[in-house]
This record gives sequence, structure tokens and C-alpha cells, in this order.
Amino acid sequence: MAQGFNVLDHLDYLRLRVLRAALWFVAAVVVAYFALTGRVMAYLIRGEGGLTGLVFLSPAEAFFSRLKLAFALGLVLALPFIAYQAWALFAPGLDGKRRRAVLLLIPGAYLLFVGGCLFAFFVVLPLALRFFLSFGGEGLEQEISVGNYVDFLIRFVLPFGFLFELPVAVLVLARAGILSPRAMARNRKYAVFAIFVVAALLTPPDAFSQLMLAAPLLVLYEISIVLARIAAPGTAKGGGGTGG
Amino acid sequence: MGLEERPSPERTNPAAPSPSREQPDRESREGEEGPAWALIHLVEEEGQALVEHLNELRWRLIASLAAFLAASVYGWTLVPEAIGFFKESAGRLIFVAPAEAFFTRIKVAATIGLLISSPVIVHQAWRFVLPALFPHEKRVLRGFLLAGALLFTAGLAFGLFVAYPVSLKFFMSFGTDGMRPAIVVSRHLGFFLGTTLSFALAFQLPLALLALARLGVVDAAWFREMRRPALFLAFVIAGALTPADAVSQILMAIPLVVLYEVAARLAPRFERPRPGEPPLDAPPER
Repeated sequence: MAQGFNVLDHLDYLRLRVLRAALWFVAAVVVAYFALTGRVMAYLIRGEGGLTGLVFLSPAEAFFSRLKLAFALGLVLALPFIAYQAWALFAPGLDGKRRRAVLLLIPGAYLLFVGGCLFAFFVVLPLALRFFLSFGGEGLEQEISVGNYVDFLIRFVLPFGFLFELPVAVLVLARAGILSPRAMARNRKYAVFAIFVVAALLTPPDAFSQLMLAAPLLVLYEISIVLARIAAPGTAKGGGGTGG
Repeated sequence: MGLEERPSPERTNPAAPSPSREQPDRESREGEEGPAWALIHLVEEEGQALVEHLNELRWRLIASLAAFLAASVYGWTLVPEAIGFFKESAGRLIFVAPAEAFFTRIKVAATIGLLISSPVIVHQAWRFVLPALFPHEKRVLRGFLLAGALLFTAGLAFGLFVAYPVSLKFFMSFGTDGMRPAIVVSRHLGFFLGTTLSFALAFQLPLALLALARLGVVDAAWFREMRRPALFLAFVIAGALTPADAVSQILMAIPLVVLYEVAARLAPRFERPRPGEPPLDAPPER
């Protein structure tokens, strides 16, 4: 506003950024629908998860569940572009050093997110499916419907991606001086408890997937403590381990 | 208030506060009057008893929970037989969501566990309220509990052997050569529980009516007068409690009407207190 940048200009800029983010998202959904959904859905059929096939129970179910999966995949694909638009929106309010630091954070955060999703999809999901499907048999036949399967997939995989962002959040908070590595080590038992609660809330309600989400989170928490030690203000340039 | 001490010679529960405890001076102190202070004084005086009550409640809850869990573990071993029974009555049994088979099995086990452990749970609740009851109240409540358990079992048996097979057969008969059954197991469990447990609950009707008669809300004349509305109401309740079809509605209404008649016959014996016995809401004898 000081440089003649008035409220309307700001709103205009916001509109531009939101529009671009939405366009990226739509494009990613289209790409995901044609390039990925078929493969993702077929991946676990007759795989190690023990899924023998999928059925659909209502006429429109196959189409709408594929669309739903495309939206979820599109979100994953478009996330770095959406994050870039958000950065561009707020960048004018940041000084040069911070602007660069935040921009550099985006690839790392995205890698962690995708890493969490891939870990969930390729490692945990087959185990979870094997566990759940093993309760069929004895007259109970497996006829998993595609809608239920896609819901299960999304509810299972996305929480892993979001929770794998833990080190990024810790890095930012530690850099800002809000979180000290010492406090993180001291409050470890509360963190463990909180991780198990969050894992229970975000996964289907059973102990198994809760554990599968909590275990890597505990590892990430320990990594975060190390990261926080590096990032803590005052310790970056050889200040010793006395941060906090 | 459940905290109030009532003198009772039949107090046998060791966990209950001892009846010989001296009543502290209840006269209010200076400037400490009004309902809020009355409550505070009560808590001060009865504090020890309150803590004992809470402690007892805690252990009774733990005992009930332990019984339920143990019975559920046993129930888990019966799950294959339950699934086999469902399959036999439904034809093809499928599960349509990844976690459905798992959670249906858990539900079956928990239901079996609840049924098996229910005597223990009722017994624990009974022992907890026992010290607060007069001998005649105790007698009435015991009768009601036993009759309730009996009627619950009868209702369950009726649902299991009559209502469930009949309504299932009725519905399954609508399949054709081009429309074969593949029943989703969680929905079949819901149908099974809906047809059996709702009868077990509906069979409690005479108890509710007799309790009303005992309290003086209704009498034999009322039962005669209300026969037609009751007939109508029985069908409405049966319609609400069963799957939406006429067969199980009629099936459910018949025993309800019979139970109403039983209650009407028994009402004269319940409506007035027997000689030498105070009515339920009488003040405690001093």
C-alpha cells in the first residue's frame, strides 16, 4: 500500500493465485484419471495383499469411485504447484532470506509427503489388506466393491503423507525458536502418546493400521529432534548443544 | 439421594458403609444455610460413604468389564459357527469392504460376549444398589429381575426360532433364477440382530405394564378400557421394531398382544399392595 499497491490490487493478486492453483489441480486430476487410476486400482488385485478382484454394486459406482481416486491422486500430483502458488501469494510480505528459505522448503516437504504416500501404498497397504482379507473364508466370500476399496485406499494412504510432514513442521518451529530440541526430548512420552492418538484418529479404526502409522512417526519424531538441533537458532554456527 | 443412610437389618454387603455409624450433628452452622450449603454439609458428613460407594462402583465396573471381555474371547471361538449358521440360512455370504469381515467377526464375538456375561453384569448392578433398598423393595425388584431375564430369554428364543427364520424365508423367496442371493455379511448380522433382539426387548412389555399397575398409574379397569388402543399400538410398535414387512410385523404383534393379555390378567394381583406391605413409594418406616 505504501508503494501504491491498494486493497483491490491485493485481491486481484489473490484471485490470480487461487485461479492458477485451481487450474493446476484440475489439470492434475485429468492426468491422474487417464494415466494413473487404472494402474493404481489394478496394482493390488491378485497381488500380495490377497485381493482377488473388485465388483461394483450400483450402476454408477465404478465411474464415481474412479473419479474419486482421480481427485485424490490429482491432489497429490498438484501439491507442489499449489504450494508454489501459496508461496508466491505470501512472498511479497517476506524478506529476501526468508523468501528463499520457504521456497527451498517446498521440494523437501513434497518429497516427504510423496514418500509417506508411497510407503503407505507399497509397504503398509498390502500388509493391511492381507490382515483384513484373512478374516474371510469359512463360507465368507470376498467380493470387495470398488467404492469401498477406493475409500479404504484414500483413508489409508493420505494420512501417511500428511503425517510424514512432521519433520518439516518441527524444522520451521525450531527455526522460529518456538520448539527446542531439548523440550522435544524431554516431552518424548507425551509425543508418543499424541502420535498414537493421532494415528488412531486418522486410520481405519483398528489397532493394526494405527501401529503401522505410529511406528514410522516415532522414527520421524527422533529424526525431527536431530533436525531441530541443527536448525535451532544460535546453534547453527557452532553454538554447541545448549540450544533452548 | 442414593447417599442417604437407610436403616436396614438385611444389609449384608461388606462393601457398604456400616449401619452403626453415628449420625453427625446435622444442625447448620452460622451463616451456612440454603440448598448449596445443605449439599456441602451432606458431602462433608457422608464424604467417607461417598468415597466408599465410588470405590465399590469402580470395582463392580471393572468386574463387569472383565466378565464381558472374557466372554467375548470365548465368543470369538464361536464366530465360525455363527458364520456357518448365517451362510446356511442365507445361501451365499459375501463381504464387500476390505475391513468388513474383520469387524463383523468382532461384532459377533462382542454380542455373544454380552449375552453370556449379562448375568454377571446384572448381578454386579444388583449388588451395588442392594444396600439402598428396603426388604420389600428388594423382594419386588428381585421378582422383576428374574421375570425380566425369563422374558428376555423367551423373546430371544421366539425371535431365533420363529421370527428370524420365517421373515428370512419370506424375503429370500423373492429371489429368482436371474436374481440370486449374495448377502452382505454385515447387513445379514444387522437383520439377524434386528429380528431377535427386538423381540427380546418387546417381551419386557408385561413388566412395564405391571410396574405401572404396582405404582397405581393403571388398574384392571384401565386394561379393559385400553384393549383396542393397545391392539393398535402393538402393531405400530411391531412395525417400528421389525424390518418393514407385514409378516414379521404380525409375527411380532401376536406375542405382544398375548403379553398384554397376560399383564391384564395379572394386574389385579399387582395393583394394590398386599396387607402388611407398604406401597413402593411409601416413606421409610422409623
